[in-house]
Amino acid sequence: MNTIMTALPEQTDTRPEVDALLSVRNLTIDAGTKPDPIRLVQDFSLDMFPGDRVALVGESGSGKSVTARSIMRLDPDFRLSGSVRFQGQDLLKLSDRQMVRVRGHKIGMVFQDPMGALNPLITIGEQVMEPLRIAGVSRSEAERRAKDVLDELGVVNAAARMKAYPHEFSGGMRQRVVLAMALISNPSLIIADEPTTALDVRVQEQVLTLMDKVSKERGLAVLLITHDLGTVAGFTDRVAVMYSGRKVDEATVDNLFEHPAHPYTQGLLQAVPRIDQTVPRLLTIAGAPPHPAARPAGCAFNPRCPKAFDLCRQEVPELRPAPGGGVVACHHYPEAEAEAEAEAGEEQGA
Amino acid sequence: MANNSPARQTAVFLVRKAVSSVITLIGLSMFVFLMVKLIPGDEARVAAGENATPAQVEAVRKSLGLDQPFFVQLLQFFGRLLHGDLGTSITTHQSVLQGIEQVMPQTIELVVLAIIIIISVVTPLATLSALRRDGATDVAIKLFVILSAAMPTFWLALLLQYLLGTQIGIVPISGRLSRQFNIPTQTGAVVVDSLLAGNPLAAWDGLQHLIVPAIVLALPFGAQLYRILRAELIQVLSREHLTVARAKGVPQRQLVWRHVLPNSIGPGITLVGIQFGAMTGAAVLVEGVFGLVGVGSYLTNAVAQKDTFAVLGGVLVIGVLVVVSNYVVDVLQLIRDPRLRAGQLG
Repeated sequence: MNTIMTALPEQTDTRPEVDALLSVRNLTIDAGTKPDPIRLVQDFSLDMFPGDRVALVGESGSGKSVTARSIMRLDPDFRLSGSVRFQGQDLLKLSDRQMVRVRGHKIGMVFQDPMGALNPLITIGEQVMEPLRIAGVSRSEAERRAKDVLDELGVVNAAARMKAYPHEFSGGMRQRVVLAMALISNPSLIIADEPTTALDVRVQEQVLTLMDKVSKERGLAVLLITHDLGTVAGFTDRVAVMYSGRKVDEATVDNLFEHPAHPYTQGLLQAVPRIDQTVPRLLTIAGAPPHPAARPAGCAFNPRCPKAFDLCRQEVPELRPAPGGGVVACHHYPEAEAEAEAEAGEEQGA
Repeated sequence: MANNSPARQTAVFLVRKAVSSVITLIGLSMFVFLMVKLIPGDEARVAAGENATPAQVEAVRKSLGLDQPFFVQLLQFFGRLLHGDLGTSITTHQSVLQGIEQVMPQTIELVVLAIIIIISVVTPLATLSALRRDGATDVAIKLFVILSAAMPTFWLALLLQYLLGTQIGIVPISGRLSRQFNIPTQTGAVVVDSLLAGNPLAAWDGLQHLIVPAIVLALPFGAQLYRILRAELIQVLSREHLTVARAKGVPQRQLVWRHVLPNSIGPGITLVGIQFGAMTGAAVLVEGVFGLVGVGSYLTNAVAQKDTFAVLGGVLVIGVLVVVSNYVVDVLQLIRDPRLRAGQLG
């Protein structure tokens, strides 16, 4: 952490920020009408480097999907502030027209529901080719590359299947098609928003294995949005945990599973059935996450936290270094040294 | 499996629809025949003329076959129908088929122009409305649509006739074609005949005569289409595959043309198919105001004079039009939606 320079306290990495593929800083997302907006996400920061695999984990309503979609600026009704630098370019400052060229071409996205993700009236081939056709690639070239990427993703008899319509594909096959659409323009980052949640277990396994293989072969960075810690363990290097619109914990996968820092992360892990450990009874976290319009004072997790004390009910904890090497937003850990405090002060002032 | 191939499914679907269309037409003609018989009054007396003696009336009754029992008359009617004979008008003593042939193309021309206006005006308005849902643009368009649909057709026709025809003078007040043009009748539709005769000036003149009646006819039907299209567009705009399409970099314009509109026009196509028949009937009023001949005026006269075969013929021809337009709608839906071709949506 004490390298020369730019490492901010939000970063688990000591790699310099300038090399980052994606560098999200204090991303804040508001929805609703101006007089009383609803704050969906507050000061979210994350760095990803080429080839990184990061998981964004949280319950429904934690803001993980909203964050992922907002990196792509997919919801025109949300108001975004902070910065989302991708390959050095702040996506939040791009015009709509410029943003269109980033979507699908530099960042690909995979979605939760493969049933609804495809246009029912257009053939699979047309849909896979579409990003290339928009970029002005000739039809024959686009067809060739679509066939190649479908082959790569294990779609049998790809050339013939390209003439088929989505309703003729199974869920797992559709998810491969969605993945093919995301991959065809050779992006350097894939954002996968719960890509396996809607699939049955056996197909989940297939799709994950496939994503694993393809991203390794292509050196792709993957941001995986999920609520399933089992998926995280096998697939990613690093995990960021979100709770009620804030990042509360970030660590490498090993650290997170062995020494979870945040009480919420600890609770999540206790709620995961594990084949390598015997527990008398699977624990749950009592209660539900707060509504974004009605968060409790202090740490948003305090009403459900078994370790909460007075300070937790009064003051929102800033992110600070975690013992295992990551960062954590919890009053049980000492705040970072002067450097970080100055940084935190700046943020509050801004 | 060959049995379930889309081509076969499609063929089965089309044949099934065709059979049901024919059954519809048979039912319709029986119904209309019955209705005409139930209208009070004596057809034989009408046909024989006001000053005919009772003996003359009886002679006419016999010669027209009106003395036969009801079912015999019905069977005779169907027998002639199979030969393409719609009978002879009791009042004009002209073949009903010929009489309708003279007026039908003009009504169709009017209705088709109205439908072209509806589709080309409503589609962009509804799209804009749906994209700017609840915004100022949407509210303004909604207001415009409600106002134009709320105006009574008859009054609006007179108003436009007065404003555009008399005051501003940019369109003719009434009639079908200016006197200086003499176009040989081929199809019966004036604009089409003018084009066939190689006379674009006459076609333009014919169009000018037709445009205001077509607008008046289009307004209430256009409002229906606007409502149904806007609702469907809003529904489609919230679908996940549009987010996916945007995430893969599809620009807004292409998104609307390729992913939103084709997916939204299904109910609209069905509605326009139904409207086609209704507009043929509604054309009566408009044709009256603007001094146009058409199937509307033909039918009104026939009903007033208890001209059985003319009424039957007119209704039947409109019925055929409706059935054909519904058939066209079914085929269009098949072309649009591959799931329909695969027989998944019945």
